[in-house]
Amino acid sequence: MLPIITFIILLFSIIYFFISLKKIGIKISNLFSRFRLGLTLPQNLSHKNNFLKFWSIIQYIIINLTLVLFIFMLLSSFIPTAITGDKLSGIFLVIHITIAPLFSLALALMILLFSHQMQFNKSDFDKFAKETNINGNDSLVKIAFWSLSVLSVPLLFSIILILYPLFGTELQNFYITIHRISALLFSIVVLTIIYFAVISKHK
Amino acid sequence: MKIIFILITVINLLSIFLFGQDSNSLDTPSLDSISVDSTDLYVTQFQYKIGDISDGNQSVPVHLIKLFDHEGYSIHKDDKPQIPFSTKTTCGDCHTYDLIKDGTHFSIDKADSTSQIGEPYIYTDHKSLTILPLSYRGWKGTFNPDSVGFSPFNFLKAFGSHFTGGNISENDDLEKPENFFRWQVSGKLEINCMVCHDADPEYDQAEFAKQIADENFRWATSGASSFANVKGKASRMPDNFDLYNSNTFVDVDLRTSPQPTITYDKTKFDSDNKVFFNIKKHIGKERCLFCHTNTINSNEDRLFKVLEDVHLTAGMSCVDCHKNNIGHDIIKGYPSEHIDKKNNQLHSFSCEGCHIKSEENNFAGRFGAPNPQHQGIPSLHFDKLSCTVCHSSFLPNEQPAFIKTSRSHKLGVPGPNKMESTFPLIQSPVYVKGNNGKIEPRNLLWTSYWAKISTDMILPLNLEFVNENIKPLLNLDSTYNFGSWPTIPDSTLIAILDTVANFFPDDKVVFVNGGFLYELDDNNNILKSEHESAEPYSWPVAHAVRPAQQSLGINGCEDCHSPNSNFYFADIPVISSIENDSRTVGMTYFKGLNSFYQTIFSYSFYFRPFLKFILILSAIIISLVVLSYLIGAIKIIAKNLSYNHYINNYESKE
Repeated sequence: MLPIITFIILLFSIIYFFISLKKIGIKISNLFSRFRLGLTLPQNLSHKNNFLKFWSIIQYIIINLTLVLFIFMLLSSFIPTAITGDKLSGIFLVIHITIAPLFSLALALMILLFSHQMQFNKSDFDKFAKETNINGNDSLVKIAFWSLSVLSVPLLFSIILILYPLFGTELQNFYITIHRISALLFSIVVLTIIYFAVISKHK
Repeated sequence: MKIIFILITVINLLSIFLFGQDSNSLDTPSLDSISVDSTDLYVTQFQYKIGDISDGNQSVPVHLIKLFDHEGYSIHKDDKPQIPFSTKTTCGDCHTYDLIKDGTHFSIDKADSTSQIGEPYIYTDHKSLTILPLSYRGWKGTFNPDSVGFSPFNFLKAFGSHFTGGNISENDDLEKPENFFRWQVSGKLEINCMVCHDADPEYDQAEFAKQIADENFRWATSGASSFANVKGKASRMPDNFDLYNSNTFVDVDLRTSPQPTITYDKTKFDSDNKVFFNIKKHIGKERCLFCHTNTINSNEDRLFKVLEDVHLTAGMSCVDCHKNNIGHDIIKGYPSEHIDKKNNQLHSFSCEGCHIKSEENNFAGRFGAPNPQHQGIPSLHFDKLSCTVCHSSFLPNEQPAFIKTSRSHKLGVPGPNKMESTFPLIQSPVYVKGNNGKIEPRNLLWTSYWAKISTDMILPLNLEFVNENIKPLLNLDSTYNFGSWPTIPDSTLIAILDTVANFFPDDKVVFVNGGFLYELDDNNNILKSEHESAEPYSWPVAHAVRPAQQSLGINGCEDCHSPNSNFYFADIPVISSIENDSRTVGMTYFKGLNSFYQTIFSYSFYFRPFLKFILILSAIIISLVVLSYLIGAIKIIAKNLSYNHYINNYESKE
């Protein structure tokens, strides 16, 4: 019964999302471009300085790669568990563990590359984006960035500890729960930031 | 109320003094079947006899008792002729026989109400290419002996060597008319209590088997005991044989075929005509192992290949887990037994129930059972696999081994075939997905039999018909009952199916073999098809339990998750009767798994060290970044909270 209910909720959420977009005049074909604009992802790929141009390309690739890999991780982990109610196993597990090292490396690089510009400063404490209008250095993006960074720590360490024969069944189940909760919160943060990026009013 | 209690007590006491307990009568209730509940001051009459319920004393009562024959008459050492003692009347004097006879071992004629299937009795005749798993219990994949013309009498003759006696051997309602006179000659085979409970090392179960083979059913239990000697064969006696009337066997040459006789060892009788039975409640493993042995079908390396269960090595015995009450309903110990039998306490007799404490089981830790940590094993394994996969039976090899079992190969009786690869060829371990959805190790038997399709059902042909009509056509009399299973060419199969079809004009005659159904089409060509009835029969094995150091997975994930792992990729040879049919089936087939996927998954484990390295590296990078900015953030907070910071701000504003 639970898988059926979950599937219905997911379906209705997706339908509601697209209906909401239509109401505020956003076309589905513009989703990705609006998302990039909303986050003001580095897209000055034709800078005159070759090093800056190269570095922009690197950042661009890292961001997009992390996002794409995240989507694969999200789908491979939540589809079987939400739809079937079973633990992650079978082909979904194979996809999940194959993409996991790539995702973790991309995530680590993204955090390393963007941590400095995502530092909080005085202006972030003075104003808080009440509107759904976000820009690249806006407080909301910074909060999301550091939330993801902090959540990455239990997300990765919990699974690393399970990979070694250090702990018995009870503790293994505990770490799996940590991993699940971290992944869930991580996904919520990412989906939230995607949502606000898409619906923000761009200049 | 008090007056009534006193009156009843007085009446009972009087009845004891006046009537006593007649040694030739079984109907007088014994004193201990009356219980007085002193708190409520009324008397309750139970149906139990003195030996049915323990008074709590953990020692075993000394069984110095009289012997009674099947009619309830006391046996004296000087009686002529001597009559074999009856367990129903001798043991039944103190233990309610009717309560016991529905026990697991004795009521094999009853359909099993539990979900657990077990080892059948296997009818094997290589000369007619027949391997049939027989069971009265209705397990899917087995056949009721009656359906193939195997009467209880013939069943007893064929399989009684490893049978305890019970309903099929003493229930008149199950007798076939054609065996009526033979039953009169042989007598009934009552429940042989001694097969388990006699701790006398001179008790000889092999002698019991010999008596069964000679059709000396009534004499079998006595013959196996240490205080009686049975000679002669009821099988050689005529249908009108009467032990008390020598005229009934006057035509029999008693020099070569003596009538069955029993001679008691008079020194075993005391002055009161009682005999000592060395009875044990806590039965030794040897008694169980006579019928429940699984051994590798190879004479090589027996020192290393024969497994002893780790529980037995630790000093436990079979009955420590496989307990029963007076009803003799043996606890089997499979995971869902407590659900099937609606008794939560039974959960503690399963592997998980004994070793792992849980909310539903407070009885874990019996006999000091260690609590396994299963370090490094993801819990998903316990959802997909039974405990026995890693801990029981033989370790998986490139091909399953051929094994022998007591019941199938007549182990322990005089003259079994000790050659390797003795028929039937039972393969083990084969990993199969069980009824509870978990993979478990099983013994596997490829069935082979001649059958007919009648109203869409596959019905094996009568065994007598097969012996009389098909066996001569096969002409396999010169083959041995060991080695490679005999095969026939397609032409012989066609000829036999064509010939036998004449006997069954309304039905289609088929040959079930090697997982396929063979029949003839309209052009007399062989048509081979898959059918559920042709699937091999398998039954779960839980013993012998290997110690932790020998469990699957002790060497890491690669024990199972590697491209050359025998757990996933072993090949199971199909035992086929058709020439040039040398098929094998992958181990994943019976697990319900996809072989290709398992191969891919196994290869992914080569990248596991790489995965760990990348994950650790990423985790360290992220942790260091977060930590460094966290330290910076703390530094700023500390700075903003300091007194000097406020002083500087105040001064700068001024």
